[in-house]
Amino acid sequence: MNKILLLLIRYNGFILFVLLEFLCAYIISINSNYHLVSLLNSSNFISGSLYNISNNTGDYFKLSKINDSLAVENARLMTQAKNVYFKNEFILKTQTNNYQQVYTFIESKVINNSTTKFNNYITLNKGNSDHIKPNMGIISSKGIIGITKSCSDKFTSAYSLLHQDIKISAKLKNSNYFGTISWQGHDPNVVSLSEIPKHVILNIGDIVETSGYSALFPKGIKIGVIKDIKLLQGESYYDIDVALAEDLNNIDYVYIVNYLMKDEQINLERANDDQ
Amino acid sequence: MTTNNNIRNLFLFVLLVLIQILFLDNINIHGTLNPFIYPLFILLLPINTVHWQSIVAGFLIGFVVGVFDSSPGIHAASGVFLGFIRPFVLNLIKPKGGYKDDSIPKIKELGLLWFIVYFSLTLLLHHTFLFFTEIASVNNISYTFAKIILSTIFSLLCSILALYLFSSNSTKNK
Repeated sequence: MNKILLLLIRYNGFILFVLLEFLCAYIISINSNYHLVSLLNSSNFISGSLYNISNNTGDYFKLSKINDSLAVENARLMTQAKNVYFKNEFILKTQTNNYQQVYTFIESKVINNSTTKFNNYITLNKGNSDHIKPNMGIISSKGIIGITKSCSDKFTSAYSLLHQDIKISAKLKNSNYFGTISWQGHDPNVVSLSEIPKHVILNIGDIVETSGYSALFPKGIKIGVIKDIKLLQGESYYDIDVALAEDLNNIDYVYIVNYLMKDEQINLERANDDQ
Repeated sequence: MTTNNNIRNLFLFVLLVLIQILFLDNINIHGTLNPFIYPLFILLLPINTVHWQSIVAGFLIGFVVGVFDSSPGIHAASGVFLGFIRPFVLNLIKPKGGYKDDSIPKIKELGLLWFIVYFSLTLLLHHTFLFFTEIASVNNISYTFAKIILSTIFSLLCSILALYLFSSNSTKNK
């Protein structure tokens, strides 16, 4: 204890210097948005680069597994591409795009992830220079991952699905009843589906997928299967537990959804709120 | 510190802050350069001031000057940096016999050349820290370097001028 005090006294100038410089950095950040963004960007860049390096070194150990999942993904996308092409032809002939939602996907790797906190975040290795913007949905080959939050030039920070602020519009696959998916904060493999009215007939094992009603995710992306159904006395909506299709502890390659008609849909829906 | 010292410090603080904010902040060569004279407060402290006192003095004058320039944090940060490096620079340019008198550095004792070296070293470091903190990136680094060097020369001229005015005042009083 004495030695620590002696050390503090001997280096008091340096310690005071460091403390005051941190105070000044705080003062600068709160007074100037430019400096705050610059500080956050550089810390994002440093932490992003470190995660990238550590991820690259671990990559060689996962190559064969990734190859297999990529082959599966390719097969799925090729069939989908055929459908899209067919729809394109149909639309060119009839000159309507009522039935087409135009999505492109940007692939990216997860370089940082967490599932144990109350609010979890994910870092991706693509950013502004790959046309990623905040508020875009993120999916994987198995299910939903999250929504992008803020982007620097080469990295993106994103809300995980396991975050209290994230609510996804979902619907049952075998009917059109829709509700909201949100995470309760306990089990990283289970989310909660709300707003399904109590007259709907549900079975354990029913598939829950995205409804396509938000501008974030296309319709039909699988979220999970119903695991538990509760209806409390006096409530008019079910309290449904959904087991996630994607294990968020084990995510690697993800796809960021670029919805090309997003601005149009959001502006139209915003007019509803204004009225 | 003696009461005399405190009064002298307070007077110098107020004087330098006033000159800086009223006159020098309005001088903008080519629209960008303006001289900084407030580092003189830290540089003209007695040579044997304790390290932490010069750091705190730097923070105070930097903060006050910065408040009038809408950038309190930047000038405070550079003032703290200047207070931190001051003892090291003083050690570096120590004259052959050491500092004779552990009080305020004076032209009569140390000579003009010592003062030019002292001011240019410290002002260069101070301005480097200031302008890098202000721009907060390494884009356009040649512009930053040009600004640092030209601003240092300008501040150096103003400081030497102020030094002559200040010391001739005290010799006149004798």
